[in-house]
Amino acid sequence: MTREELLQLLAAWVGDITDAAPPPITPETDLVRDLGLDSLALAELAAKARMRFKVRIRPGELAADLRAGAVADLLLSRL
Amino acid sequence: MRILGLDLAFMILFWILVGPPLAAVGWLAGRLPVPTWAHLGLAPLYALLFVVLLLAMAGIVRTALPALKPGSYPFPGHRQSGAWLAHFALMRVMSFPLWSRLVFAFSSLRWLWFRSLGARAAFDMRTAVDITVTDPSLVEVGQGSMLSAGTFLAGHFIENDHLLLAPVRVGKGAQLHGQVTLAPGAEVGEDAVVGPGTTLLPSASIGCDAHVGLGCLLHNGARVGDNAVVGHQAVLEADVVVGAGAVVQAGARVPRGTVIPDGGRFPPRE
Repeated sequence: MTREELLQLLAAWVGDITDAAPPPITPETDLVRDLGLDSLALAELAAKARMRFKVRIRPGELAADLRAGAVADLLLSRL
Repeated sequence: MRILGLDLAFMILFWILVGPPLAAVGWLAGRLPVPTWAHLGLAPLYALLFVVLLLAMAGIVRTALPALKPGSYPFPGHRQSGAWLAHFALMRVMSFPLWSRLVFAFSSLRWLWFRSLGARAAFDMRTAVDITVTDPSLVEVGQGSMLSAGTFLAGHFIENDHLLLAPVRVGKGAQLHGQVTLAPGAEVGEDAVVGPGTTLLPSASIGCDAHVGLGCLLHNGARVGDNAVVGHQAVLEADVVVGAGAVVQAGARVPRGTVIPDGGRFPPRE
Protein backbone atom coordinates (compact mmCIF):
# COMPACT_ATOMS: atom_id res chain seq x y z
CA MET A 1 0.00 0.00 0.00
CA THR A 2 1.34 3.44 -0.93
CA ARG A 3 1.33 6.58 1.18
CA GLU A 4 -1.29 8.13 -1.10
CA GLU A 5 -3.57 5.12 -0.73
CA LEU A 6 -3.15 5.28 3.04
CA LEU A 7 -4.14 8.96 3.02
CA GLN A 8 -7.30 8.08 1.10
CA LEU A 9 -8.03 5.30 3.57
CA LEU A 10 -7.54 7.73 6.46
CA ALA A 11 -10.03 10.11 4.85
CA ALA A 12 -12.56 7.28 4.52
CA TRP A 13 -12.05 6.28 8.16
CA VAL A 14 -12.46 9.88 9.34
CA GLY A 15 -15.68 10.10 7.32
CA ASP A 16 -16.95 6.92 8.96
CA ILE A 17 -16.01 8.09 12.47
CA THR A 18 -17.62 11.50 12.05
CA ASP A 19 -20.57 10.09 10.10
CA ALA A 20 -19.92 12.50 7.24
CA ALA A 21 -18.44 12.45 3.74
CA PRO A 22 -14.70 11.68 3.66
CA PRO A 23 -12.93 15.05 4.04
CA PRO A 24 -10.17 16.18 1.67
CA ILE A 25 -6.87 15.18 3.26
CA THR A 26 -3.33 16.23 2.43
CA PRO A 27 -0.16 15.11 4.24
CA GLU A 28 -0.23 18.38 6.18
CA THR A 29 -3.84 18.07 7.32
CA ASP A 30 -3.94 18.01 11.12
CA LEU A 31 -6.42 15.42 12.35
CA VAL A 32 -7.38 17.44 15.42
CA ARG A 33 -6.97 21.07 14.38
CA ASP A 34 -8.26 20.74 10.81
CA LEU A 35 -10.67 17.81 11.04
CA GLY A 36 -11.88 18.26 14.63
CA LEU A 37 -11.14 14.75 15.86
CA ASP A 38 -11.07 14.33 19.64
CA SER A 39 -9.20 11.79 21.75
CA LEU A 40 -11.90 9.15 21.40
CA ALA A 41 -12.04 9.62 17.62
CA LEU A 42 -8.26 9.18 17.53
CA ALA A 43 -8.64 6.00 19.60
CA GLU A 44 -11.23 4.81 17.08
CA LEU A 45 -8.88 5.62 14.22
CA ALA A 46 -6.07 3.67 15.89
CA ALA A 47 -8.45 0.75 16.46
CA LYS A 48 -9.43 0.73 12.78
CA ALA A 49 -5.76 0.68 11.77
CA ARG A 50 -4.93 -2.12 14.20
CA MET A 51 -7.84 -4.23 13.02
CA ARG A 52 -7.31 -3.62 9.30
CA PHE A 53 -3.54 -4.16 9.22
CA LYS A 54 -3.02 -6.26 12.37
CA VAL A 55 -0.30 -3.86 13.47
CA ARG A 56 0.68 -2.76 16.95
CA ILE A 57 -0.06 0.86 17.78
CA ARG A 58 0.51 1.76 21.44
CA PRO A 59 -1.83 4.13 23.27
CA GLY A 60 -1.04 7.72 22.41
CA GLU A 61 1.31 6.86 19.56
CA LEU A 62 -0.86 8.63 16.97
CA ALA A 63 -0.90 11.76 19.11
CA ALA A 64 2.87 12.21 18.72
CA ASP A 65 2.32 13.87 15.34
CA LEU A 66 -1.25 14.48 14.27
CA ARG A 67 -0.59 15.38 10.63
CA ALA A 68 -2.17 12.88 8.24
CA GLY A 69 1.16 12.36 6.47
CA ALA A 70 2.87 11.47 9.75
CA VAL A 71 0.09 9.05 10.65
CA ALA A 72 0.37 7.43 7.21
CA ASP A 73 4.14 7.15 7.66
CA LEU A 74 3.66 5.54 11.07
CA LEU A 75 1.33 2.96 9.55
CA LEU A 76 3.65 2.36 6.60
CA SER A 77 6.52 1.72 9.00
CA ARG A 78 4.47 -1.02 10.67
CA LEU A 79 3.18 -2.78 7.55
CA MET B 1 -15.97 -6.93 72.41
CA ARG B 2 -15.42 -8.33 68.94
CA ILE B 3 -14.19 -4.97 67.70
CA LEU B 4 -11.76 -4.68 70.62
CA GLY B 5 -10.53 -8.21 69.89
CA LEU B 6 -9.88 -7.25 66.27
CA ASP B 7 -8.02 -4.14 67.43
CA LEU B 8 -5.89 -6.22 69.76
CA ALA B 9 -5.07 -8.68 66.96
CA PHE B 10 -4.19 -5.76 64.69
CA MET B 11 -1.93 -4.28 67.40
CA ILE B 12 -0.09 -7.59 67.77
CA LEU B 13 0.38 -7.84 64.00
CA PHE B 14 1.59 -4.23 63.91
CA TRP B 15 4.11 -4.99 66.64
CA ILE B 16 5.31 -8.22 64.95
CA LEU B 17 5.88 -6.37 61.69
CA VAL B 18 7.27 -3.06 62.87
CA GLY B 19 9.06 -4.00 66.10
CA PRO B 20 11.92 -6.17 64.75
CA PRO B 21 12.92 -3.77 61.92
CA LEU B 22 12.93 -0.81 64.34
CA ALA B 23 14.99 -2.78 66.85
CA ALA B 24 17.45 -3.86 64.15
CA VAL B 25 17.94 -0.31 62.90
CA GLY B 26 18.33 0.95 66.48
CA TRP B 27 20.88 -1.77 67.22
CA LEU B 28 22.87 -0.91 64.10
CA ALA B 29 22.78 2.82 64.84
CA GLY B 30 24.02 2.18 68.38
CA ARG B 31 26.99 0.20 67.07
CA LEU B 32 28.16 2.77 64.55
CA PRO B 33 31.24 4.66 65.80
CA VAL B 34 29.98 8.10 64.81
CA PRO B 35 29.19 11.20 66.90
CA THR B 36 25.56 11.70 67.93
CA TRP B 37 24.95 14.54 65.49
CA ALA B 38 26.05 12.31 62.56
CA HIS B 39 23.07 10.04 63.16
CA LEU B 40 20.85 12.85 61.85
CA GLY B 41 22.70 12.74 58.54
CA LEU B 42 22.35 8.99 58.44
CA ALA B 43 18.62 9.09 59.21
CA PRO B 44 17.51 8.68 55.56
CA LEU B 45 19.62 5.53 55.31
CA TYR B 46 18.15 4.25 58.55
CA ALA B 47 14.67 4.90 57.13
CA LEU B 48 15.43 2.96 53.96
CA LEU B 49 16.94 0.09 55.93
CA PHE B 50 13.86 0.03 58.16
CA VAL B 51 11.58 -0.11 55.12
CA VAL B 52 13.53 -2.96 53.51
CA LEU B 53 13.42 -4.96 56.75
CA LEU B 54 9.71 -4.18 57.11
CA LEU B 55 9.07 -5.50 53.60
CA ALA B 56 10.99 -8.66 54.45
CA MET B 57 8.91 -9.12 57.60
CA ALA B 58 5.73 -8.63 55.56
CA GLY B 59 6.86 -11.29 53.10
CA ILE B 60 7.57 -13.76 55.92
CA VAL B 61 4.24 -13.11 57.65
CA ARG B 62 2.30 -13.28 54.39
CA THR B 63 3.73 -16.66 53.41
CA ALA B 64 2.62 -17.96 56.83
CA LEU B 65 -1.00 -16.94 56.15
CA PRO B 66 -3.47 -19.22 54.34
CA ALA B 67 -3.71 -18.31 50.65
CA LEU B 68 -6.83 -16.45 49.49
CA LYS B 69 -9.01 -18.44 47.10
CA PRO B 70 -11.45 -16.70 44.76
CA GLY B 71 -15.07 -17.39 45.62
CA SER B 72 -18.01 -16.23 47.73
CA TYR B 73 -17.91 -17.01 51.46
CA PRO B 74 -20.10 -16.30 54.50
CA PHE B 75 -18.67 -13.32 56.38
CA PRO B 76 -17.72 -13.66 59.14
CA GLY B 77 -17.50 -17.32 60.06
CA HIS B 78 -15.78 -18.95 57.11
CA ARG B 79 -12.10 -19.91 57.18
CA GLN B 80 -11.47 -17.85 54.02
CA SER B 81 -13.10 -14.84 55.68
CA GLY B 82 -10.62 -15.16 58.56
CA ALA B 83 -7.74 -15.52 56.12
CA TRP B 84 -8.92 -12.46 54.23
CA LEU B 85 -9.08 -10.43 57.47
CA ALA B 86 -5.47 -11.39 58.22
CA HIS B 87 -4.30 -10.43 54.71
CA PHE B 88 -6.29 -7.20 54.92
CA ALA B 89 -4.73 -6.30 58.27
CA LEU B 90 -1.29 -6.98 56.83
CA MET B 91 -2.05 -4.68 53.90
CA ARG B 92 -3.22 -1.97 56.32
CA VAL B 93 0.01 -2.07 58.30
CA MET B 94 2.05 -1.96 55.11
CA SER B 95 -0.05 0.95 53.77
CA PHE B 96 0.60 3.12 56.84
CA PRO B 97 1.39 6.51 55.22
CA LEU B 98 4.60 7.06 57.22
CA TRP B 99 6.38 4.35 55.23
CA SER B 100 4.10 3.57 52.28
CA ARG B 101 4.73 7.01 50.73
CA LEU B 102 8.47 6.36 51.00
CA VAL B 103 8.07 2.85 49.53
CA PHE B 104 6.02 4.07 46.57
CA ALA B 105 8.53 6.80 45.78
CA PHE B 106 11.07 4.11 44.78
CA SER B 107 10.29 1.74 41.89
CA SER B 108 12.26 -1.13 43.41
CA LEU B 109 10.75 -0.72 46.89
CA ARG B 110 7.27 -0.46 45.38
CA TRP B 111 7.86 -3.70 43.49
CA LEU B 112 9.03 -5.31 46.73
CA TRP B 113 5.87 -4.03 48.45
CA PHE B 114 3.68 -5.72 45.85
CA ARG B 115 5.71 -8.93 45.86
CA SER B 116 5.98 -9.20 49.62
CA LEU B 117 2.20 -8.95 49.87
CA GLY B 118 1.71 -11.63 47.21
CA ALA B 119 0.87 -9.59 44.11
CA ARG B 120 2.10 -10.69 40.72
CA ALA B 121 3.52 -7.35 39.71
CA ALA B 122 6.00 -6.53 36.95
CA PHE B 123 9.10 -4.61 37.98
CA ASP B 124 8.71 -1.86 35.41
CA MET B 125 5.13 -0.83 36.06
CA ARG B 126 4.50 2.81 36.90
CA THR B 127 2.27 3.95 39.73
CA ALA B 128 1.42 7.12 41.61
CA VAL B 129 2.25 7.21 45.31
CA ASP B 130 -1.38 7.31 46.39
CA ILE B 131 -2.88 4.24 44.75
CA THR B 132 -4.87 1.84 46.92
CA VAL B 133 -4.55 -1.92 46.56
CA THR B 134 -6.74 -3.58 49.16
CA ASP B 135 -5.92 -7.20 48.32
CA PRO B 136 -2.44 -7.42 46.80
CA SER B 137 -2.38 -11.22 46.80
CA LEU B 138 -5.30 -11.20 44.34
CA VAL B 139 -3.78 -8.60 42.06
CA GLU B 140 -1.79 -8.99 38.86
CA VAL B 141 -0.18 -5.96 37.21
CA GLY B 142 1.57 -6.34 33.86
CA GLN B 143 4.82 -4.99 32.51
CA GLY B 144 4.81 -1.35 31.41
CA SER B 145 1.36 -0.65 32.84
CA MET B 146 0.46 2.63 34.50
CA LEU B 147 -1.69 3.14 37.59
CA SER B 148 -2.37 6.85 38.01
CA ALA B 149 -3.21 8.86 41.10
CA GLY B 150 -6.11 7.58 43.14
CA THR B 151 -6.36 4.23 41.36
CA PHE B 152 -8.25 1.76 43.53
CA LEU B 153 -7.87 -2.00 43.03
CA ALA B 154 -10.09 -4.15 45.22
CA GLY B 155 -10.03 -7.94 45.19
CA HIS B 156 -12.85 -8.16 47.72
CA PHE B 157 -16.42 -7.02 48.14
CA ILE B 158 -18.61 -7.52 51.22
CA GLU B 159 -22.35 -7.54 50.71
CA ASN B 160 -25.22 -9.19 52.58
CA ASP B 161 -22.85 -10.97 54.98
CA HIS B 162 -20.93 -12.53 52.12
CA LEU B 163 -17.34 -11.92 51.14
CA LEU B 164 -16.57 -12.02 47.43
CA LEU B 165 -12.95 -12.65 46.54
CA ALA B 166 -11.79 -12.49 42.93
CA PRO B 167 -8.57 -11.61 41.11
CA VAL B 168 -7.99 -8.19 39.58
CA ARG B 169 -5.84 -8.08 36.47
CA VAL B 170 -4.17 -5.18 34.69
CA GLY B 171 -2.53 -6.27 31.43
CA LYS B 172 0.83 -5.30 29.99
CA GLY B 173 1.03 -1.68 28.89
CA ALA B 174 -2.48 -0.84 30.13
CA GLN B 175 -3.03 2.73 31.28
CA LEU B 176 -5.38 3.42 34.17
CA HIS B 177 -5.84 7.15 34.50
CA GLY B 178 -6.71 8.97 37.74
CA GLN B 179 -9.34 7.66 40.13
CA VAL B 180 -10.06 4.46 38.20
CA THR B 181 -11.70 1.77 40.34
CA LEU B 182 -11.44 -1.96 39.63
CA ALA B 183 -13.71 -4.23 41.67
CA PRO B 184 -13.11 -7.96 42.27
CA GLY B 185 -12.90 -9.95 39.05
CA ALA B 186 -12.31 -6.86 36.93
CA GLU B 187 -9.82 -7.18 34.13
CA VAL B 188 -8.10 -4.66 31.85
CA GLY B 189 -6.39 -6.05 28.74
CA GLU B 190 -2.99 -5.28 27.27
CA ASP B 191 -2.45 -1.72 26.07
CA ALA B 192 -6.01 -0.72 26.96
CA VAL B 193 -6.65 2.85 28.11
CA VAL B 194 -9.14 3.55 30.90
CA GLY B 195 -10.12 7.18 31.35
CA PRO B 196 -10.18 9.11 34.64
CA GLY B 197 -12.92 8.26 37.09
CA THR B 198 -14.08 5.11 35.32
CA THR B 199 -15.36 2.27 37.48
CA LEU B 200 -15.44 -1.44 36.67
CA LEU B 201 -17.83 -3.34 38.94
CA PRO B 202 -17.28 -7.06 39.72
CA SER B 203 -16.26 -9.20 36.75
CA ALA B 204 -16.43 -6.34 34.25
CA SER B 205 -13.65 -6.47 31.68
CA ILE B 206 -11.96 -4.37 29.03
CA GLY B 207 -10.18 -6.04 26.12
CA CYS B 208 -6.75 -5.46 24.64
CA ASP B 209 -6.16 -2.09 22.94
CA ALA B 210 -9.64 -0.91 23.91
CA HIS B 211 -10.20 2.71 24.90
CA VAL B 212 -12.72 3.64 27.59
CA GLY B 213 -13.33 7.33 28.13
CA LEU B 214 -13.59 9.29 31.36
CA GLY B 215 -16.27 8.74 33.96
CA CYS B 216 -17.66 5.50 32.53
CA LEU B 217 -19.43 2.87 34.60
CA LEU B 218 -19.22 -0.80 33.67
CA HIS B 219 -21.72 -2.82 35.68
CA ASN B 220 -21.25 -6.43 36.78
CA GLY B 221 -20.09 -8.67 33.97
CA ALA B 222 -20.03 -5.98 31.27
CA ARG B 223 -17.42 -6.82 28.65
CA VAL B 224 -15.67 -4.44 26.28
CA GLY B 225 -13.99 -6.23 23.38
CA ASP B 226 -10.53 -5.75 21.92
CA ASN B 227 -10.04 -2.45 20.08
CA ALA B 228 -13.48 -1.20 21.13
CA VAL B 229 -14.02 2.46 22.00
CA VAL B 230 -16.40 3.57 24.76
CA GLY B 231 -17.16 7.28 24.89
CA HIS B 232 -16.96 9.49 27.95
CA GLN B 233 -19.50 8.95 30.73
CA ALA B 234 -21.10 5.96 29.04
CA VAL B 235 -22.86 3.43 31.26
CA LEU B 236 -22.78 -0.25 30.36
CA GLU B 237 -25.37 -2.09 32.41
CA ALA B 238 -24.85 -5.64 33.64
CA ASP B 239 -23.72 -8.27 31.13
CA VAL B 240 -23.48 -5.88 28.19
CA VAL B 241 -21.09 -7.12 25.51
CA VAL B 242 -19.32 -4.58 23.33
CA GLY B 243 -17.83 -6.43 20.36
CA ALA B 244 -14.30 -6.09 19.04
CA GLY B 245 -13.78 -2.71 17.39
CA ALA B 246 -17.30 -1.58 18.31
CA VAL B 247 -18.04 1.98 19.40
CA VAL B 248 -20.29 3.23 22.21
CA GLN B 249 -21.15 6.89 21.91
CA ALA B 250 -20.28 9.28 24.74
CA GLY B 251 -23.04 9.57 27.33
CA ALA B 252 -24.86 6.46 26.10
CA ARG B 253 -26.57 4.12 28.54
CA VAL B 254 -26.47 0.59 27.15
CA PRO B 255 -29.30 -1.54 28.60
CA ARG B 256 -28.62 -4.74 30.51
CA GLY B 257 -27.61 -7.71 28.38
CA THR B 258 -27.26 -5.77 25.12
CA VAL B 259 -24.83 -7.32 22.65
CA ILE B 260 -23.14 -4.87 20.29
CA PRO B 261 -21.62 -6.89 17.44
CA ASP B 262 -18.00 -6.63 16.35
CA GLY B 263 -17.48 -3.31 14.56
CA GLY B 264 -20.99 -2.17 15.55
CA ARG B 265 -22.13 1.10 17.12
CA PHE B 266 -24.37 2.10 20.00
CA PRO B 267 -26.72 3.71 19.42
CA PRO B 268 -26.82 2.38 15.85
CA ARG B 269 -26.70 4.90 13.04
CA GLU B 270 -29.89 5.44 11.09
